[in-house]
Amino acid sequence: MEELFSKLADCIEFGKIDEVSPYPPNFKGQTGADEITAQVLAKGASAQDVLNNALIPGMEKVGVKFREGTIFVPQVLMSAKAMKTAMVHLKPLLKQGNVKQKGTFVIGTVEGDLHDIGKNLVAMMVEGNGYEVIDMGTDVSVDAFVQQIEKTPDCVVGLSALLTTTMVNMEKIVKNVKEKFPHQKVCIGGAPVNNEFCDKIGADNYSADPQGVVDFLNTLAS
Amino acid sequence: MNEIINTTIIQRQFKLSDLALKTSDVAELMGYTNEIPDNIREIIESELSALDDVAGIKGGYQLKQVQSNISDYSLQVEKCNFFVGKAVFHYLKNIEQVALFVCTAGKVVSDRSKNLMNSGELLEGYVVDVIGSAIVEKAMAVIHEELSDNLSFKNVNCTNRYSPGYCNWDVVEQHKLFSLLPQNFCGISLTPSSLMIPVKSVSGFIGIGTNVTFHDYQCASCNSNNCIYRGKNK
Repeated sequence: MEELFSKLADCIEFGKIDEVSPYPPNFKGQTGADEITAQVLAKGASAQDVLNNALIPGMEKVGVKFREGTIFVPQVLMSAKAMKTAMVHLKPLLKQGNVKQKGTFVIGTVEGDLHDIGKNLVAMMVEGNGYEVIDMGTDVSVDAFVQQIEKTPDCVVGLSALLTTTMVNMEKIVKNVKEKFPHQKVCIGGAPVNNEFCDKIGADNYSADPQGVVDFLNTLAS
Repeated sequence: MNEIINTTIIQRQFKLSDLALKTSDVAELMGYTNEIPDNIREIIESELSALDDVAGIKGGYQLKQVQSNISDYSLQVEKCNFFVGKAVFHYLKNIEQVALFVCTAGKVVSDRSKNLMNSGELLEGYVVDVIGSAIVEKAMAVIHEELSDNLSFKNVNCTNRYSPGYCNWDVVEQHKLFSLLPQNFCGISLTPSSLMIPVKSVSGFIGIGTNVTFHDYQCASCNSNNCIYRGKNK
């Protein structure tokens, strides 16, 4: 089983989706995330084992390589697709509630802003690291975030913005969220944002890359 | 102040094939400066081919008189005072006219990227998004070069392109810029949050004058970490 977990982690790391997928070339003809996930579950592995021993280690490596600049967005997206393929097998088991996910992460691009590539990357990386992700999309209002927190009170909130004009809406959202839910953790990210702005608006964390969000969530979860 | 050139408004329309966009141009914007992974190359080539007939690529500029004011690093264009910031002002302070430019890759490109992403094809959607960035920069480069060539006959120069949102020039000043252009110029509109629609669009100033020059990009003085020109010199 260990060998299969290791192979599955490699499929996630290098974006090998399934057997017919010709990429990456050095995996050509081999089984991919789809088949190996089915195989390990058939052999009796639990969904938790698959997450902990294959998907999370694979995505962690992707996050670190992306942070270090040795891979770029397309390779992260390939890994994310491989992970999503594996998750198709795990989702029914996750719904049965016998798998402990690390927590819930609610993410959205703030109101006025329609950019979503960065937000999607973070969502995929966080999901691949064992969290339930509720992606609220783009142009998300204060009220929508508040309503979602009422439904998932233990969640951590992630706010994304690409424009200097829309990053100011982060302040409004953080202020409203903290007024209604003083202990709710809120993290922020996006091109115009930095640590100074994070401190100024009273958010709990700023991350320059997706792995930073994962690290922050892991700190809260541990 | 005399007008250096009299043609005040120019609008151009391109097809993708007019721009001679190469796979490597797109890959470079993704970070691949040397070897491009085979599958990424294939997706770029496939999407470039799919977009080959797209004709919604538009760009243009309108020439205006301008007055610079060093006391607050501003540029007065008609009724609008642009606070471009110290860094941009440094390069535009000697300009005699300004070309207010906009350019867009068009709705089809933005919609295709969005639709691919919404249907779960994130990699393909991202590739189209980057192609959109490459298209709009390439089209604007053509327009910029034509303007530069026209000016060179008169021994007049033009500057780099400078845009709100970069080098501490507040992106909210897009509203002033668009107020000076014909409504819906090149099919581009602006949201209240200064986002251009279609999303894959650019806008800004090109300075014109006898005592201005084109500079290498001054990335050290700019805080725009996601700029596609970061770390490059043209």
